[in-house]
Amino acid sequence: MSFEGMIRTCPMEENNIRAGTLDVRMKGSRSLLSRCSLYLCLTLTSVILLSGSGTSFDGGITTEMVHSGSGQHLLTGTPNGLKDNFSAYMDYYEMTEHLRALAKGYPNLMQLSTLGKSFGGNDIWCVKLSDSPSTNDDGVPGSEPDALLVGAHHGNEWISYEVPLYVISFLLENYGSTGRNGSASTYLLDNREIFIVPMLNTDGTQYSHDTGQSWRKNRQPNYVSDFIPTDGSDVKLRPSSYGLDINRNYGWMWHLQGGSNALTQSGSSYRGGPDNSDDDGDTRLPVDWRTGRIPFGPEDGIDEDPWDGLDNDQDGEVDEDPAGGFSSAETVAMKELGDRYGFPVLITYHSFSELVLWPWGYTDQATKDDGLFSTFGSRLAGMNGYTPMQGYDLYMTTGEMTDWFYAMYGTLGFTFELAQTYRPPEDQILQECERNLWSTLYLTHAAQNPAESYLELRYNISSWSVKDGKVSVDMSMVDTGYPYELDMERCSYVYRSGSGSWRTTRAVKGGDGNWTADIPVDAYSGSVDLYLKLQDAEGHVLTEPLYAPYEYMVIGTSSGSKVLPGFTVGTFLIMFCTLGVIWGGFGSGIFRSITADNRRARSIEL
Amino acid sequence: MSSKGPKESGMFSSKWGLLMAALGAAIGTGNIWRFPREVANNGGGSFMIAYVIFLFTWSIPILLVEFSIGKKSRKGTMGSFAAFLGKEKMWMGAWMAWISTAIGFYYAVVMGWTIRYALGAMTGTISLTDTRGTWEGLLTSPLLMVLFQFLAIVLTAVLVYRGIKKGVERVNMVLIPIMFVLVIGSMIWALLQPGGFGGVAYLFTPKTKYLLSAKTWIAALAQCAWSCSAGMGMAITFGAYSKRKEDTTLNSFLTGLGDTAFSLLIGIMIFSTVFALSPTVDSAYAAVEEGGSGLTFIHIPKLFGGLGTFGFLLAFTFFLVMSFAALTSMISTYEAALKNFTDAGMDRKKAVRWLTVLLFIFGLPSALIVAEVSGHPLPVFLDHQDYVWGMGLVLSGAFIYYLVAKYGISRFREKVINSRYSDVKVGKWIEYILKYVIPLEVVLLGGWYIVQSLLADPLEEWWVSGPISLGLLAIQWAAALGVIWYLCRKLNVQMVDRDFDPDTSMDEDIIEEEAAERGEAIILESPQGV
Repeated sequence: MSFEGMIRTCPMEENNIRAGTLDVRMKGSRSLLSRCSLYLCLTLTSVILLSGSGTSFDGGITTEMVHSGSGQHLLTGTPNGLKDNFSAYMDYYEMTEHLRALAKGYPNLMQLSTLGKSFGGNDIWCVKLSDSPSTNDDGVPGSEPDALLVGAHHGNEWISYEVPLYVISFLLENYGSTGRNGSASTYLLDNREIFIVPMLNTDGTQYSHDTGQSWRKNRQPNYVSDFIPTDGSDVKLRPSSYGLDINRNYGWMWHLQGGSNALTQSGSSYRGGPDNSDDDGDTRLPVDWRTGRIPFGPEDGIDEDPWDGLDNDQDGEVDEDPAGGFSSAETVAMKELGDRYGFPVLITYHSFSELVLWPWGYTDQATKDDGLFSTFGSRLAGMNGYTPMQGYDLYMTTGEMTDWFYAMYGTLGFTFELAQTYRPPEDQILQECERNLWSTLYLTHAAQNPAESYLELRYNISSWSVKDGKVSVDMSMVDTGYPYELDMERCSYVYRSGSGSWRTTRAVKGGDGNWTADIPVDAYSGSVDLYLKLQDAEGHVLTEPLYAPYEYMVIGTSSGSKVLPGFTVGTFLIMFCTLGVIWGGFGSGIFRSITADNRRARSIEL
Repeated sequence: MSSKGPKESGMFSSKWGLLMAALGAAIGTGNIWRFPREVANNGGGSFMIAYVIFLFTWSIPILLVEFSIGKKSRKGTMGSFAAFLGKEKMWMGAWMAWISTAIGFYYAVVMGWTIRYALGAMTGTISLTDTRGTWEGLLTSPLLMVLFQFLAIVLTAVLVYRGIKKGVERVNMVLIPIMFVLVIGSMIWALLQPGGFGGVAYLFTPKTKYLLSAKTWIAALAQCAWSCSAGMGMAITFGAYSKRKEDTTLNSFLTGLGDTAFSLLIGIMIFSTVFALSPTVDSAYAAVEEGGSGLTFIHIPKLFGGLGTFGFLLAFTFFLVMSFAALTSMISTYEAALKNFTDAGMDRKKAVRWLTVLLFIFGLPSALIVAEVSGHPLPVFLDHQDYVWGMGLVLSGAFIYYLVAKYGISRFREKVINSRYSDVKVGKWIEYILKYVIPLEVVLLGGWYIVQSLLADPLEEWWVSGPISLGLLAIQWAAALGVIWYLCRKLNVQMVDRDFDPDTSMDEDIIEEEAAERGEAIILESPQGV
């Protein structure tokens, strides 16, 4: 293929140069040029053949999830390793030592404080975990939602304090490290404030350890009469029994009767005595010294308006003179903590039964948030393989912790009934801790927006491809009734290439529920890191994977091996023809132009 | 009957000046970013086959006709149409001039980008890692966009101001060889990189599927026509500036072949670079397929990013070549419009000043209207203008065909194209091409775009909105044609030389021109007498 056939050499008869001679010269020059281009092509060919570019395909295309804790690793000491600690049940003193060691080892992540002393004089330890534990919310109010984890309401439920202790160690030791553990820990400590009271019932637990008894309650004394002189008279009464059931001693519906042996002092679920005090100062009868009648009971204006959300005495005030509850140091400590932080979410650990329970415990009526409770609870139960149900469906409980927190602070609180026995064998402690870890972490994450439990995360990219200069991604997030409208303008994929900075591109939800986006291909240097980020009208941010950007999906080729396009016979054919015609043609055209000049110059000479 | 033509203004002093100017016009940024993308998207070798065929059946014949028209009429596009077809057909030439100018409006913006990148690579003020950041930073900064657009126009204007011989000719005589040398050097460097030959394989491997697809052929025709500047009026203008003795036939071939030769050099260089430097083949394919500004301003710099200081040197070379290519094309855009002003009797320098102001003001929307498309800023107005007026080349081609057909195709070949002084003479083949092939290609190219627009998104409102909407195109074309037609009716200037005689052959014109150069006035008895 050459254009030479299309152009005729201009006959130069007038100039006395014989066309034949000229033609021979032109032909000679042309063959020189074509020889040159042939040489060039041959050289190229041999180089190509020698360089031997590969043609085999290996290295499949993969999707994987990558976790990267991006925080600074703050491990300053070498506190007790995880494995060592969870092979035996700690008692209160060992736990105290353990917590102090951790607080010393992780001063930038953990703050150890006491919520007060138990009747027996033990500190009720509260651990606060966060990236700057001494500054509330990092100084920006509301920026770090709080979560509360409480263990050991009951002295005989030993596994219930090992699990929160395990969570503490897990979060501290994995902060700033890579892998799934690192992503979750770093994310949570950077973005949440986690309050953990691993052993609320210090006295009862220690008593259990000391005596070998299965002691449920705390160890405060019960007297025959609950009437204790308050005028300082030196009446010494011998306690008839010890302890009350802390988890029946919260205020909400404390006054109701029902559920096991809550009224019996010696019973293992004793709720504590009535306070018999006129909290609102509306006693109708003064003390009648003639009859010796002391004002007593609701009809005299004492304990007439219990914690039930109603104005029982119709005086315009609600729950202003409760009958009882909060008669133990432990419940008072928890009430103060609740009053202060309000906690959107909490877990209180108990054993046993492998259940996830939520309010109400005092009635079979559902809470007005029952949809969220059951969705959230089922999601948690799905993670630890427990059975989700409303508390009352197990048995009726009054003055119970999650009821109190829900009623007073709107907290989405769950009772985890761990394991299949109060005290699993010691070689199963770790197993039980691990089993409950991810549901606990999930709840902590959801402190920001508990409704996120309506979205089912798949940790999977349904499909992706690189074509037309774009990387197309599909990811699904199954919505089972998320209550807030998504702000479609702000739903996006966040992506980056290599170690570049994160960028966003709009994601569009298709009819199949998949979120699709086209990521500009310059972000694709063999792989792209990405995560899905949705935002609702309330400003909540939802991501998949959960702990993004500390973890993210990576799409790309699995190995770095480069497979180059190969040469075929056709390649050479087209290459020779194209380069021959174009480069050769251009070259010979230039040559012809030069020779034409010479020719013309000669014709002038002639 | 003296001819004032040759002395009227600067002329090309040599055939090389003319050739380099024509090459400079043809070689533009399209060779650098568009050619590799089109090859990549249309099956490599299969595309090349179609491209070469269209080079010889569209671009070169049209260039050839354009050069000859200009050389014969000694006028720009408007004057040429007036000379050959009468004053009432002058609007066709005005359309060609308008297309060239309208392309100039936004082309200055593109040229500004290349200057910014070349300067940035030299001074290290562009990032070769966060290349998208640099690119989007430029797009979203109206100040920078206008600054570099202004710089581009002023640079061009200064060179054009100096006249044909001192300006255009000299600039191209220097820049075109430099560009070829730089690109050949870069190509050799790229080929020597491990994996570099993968790019050569990608460029030339034919795929049967593509060879049988209409899209490949249309894309090849479009790329070939656009790239060679066939129908831009550039060749008419440069033809008018060249001596009649100068050969146009060989020059047309050299322009078409040279442009393609450059494209191939760039193609090999880019593909080799991409395949050598991309971390994986996926990303290499993805890079070449993105094309457009993505490839040029985001991907290529990124490839250089891994090479440290040497990478900046390569990036500088790359963008310097692009700046040169843009500059030489911008100059021809200027000249094509300018010739019409001077033909109408305006002083050249005054015309340059007016045109500069015009180009700057009408280029502002292309520089300033940047919209966010799926999260990324895009120069939407510029892309839209590129589509609307780029398509105008099809109509220009049709007008040229109309001119030749009216004049008589055989007569045109014998009298206007060929002369005693031609380095090569054109055979009868061009008559067949002009008679049958080019009309078919006009219908094919125009029809394809209409069909494609209709089929692309039948449910979308393609005809009123979007960067490539046929409706917006039609509205702007109609408006431009209306204004042009009206103005040409009203315009009362003598665009045609009084002594222009369409019936004299090129040989007779040359005798007359030589006589005029010697200061003699040869009186021909009558136009038909010789």
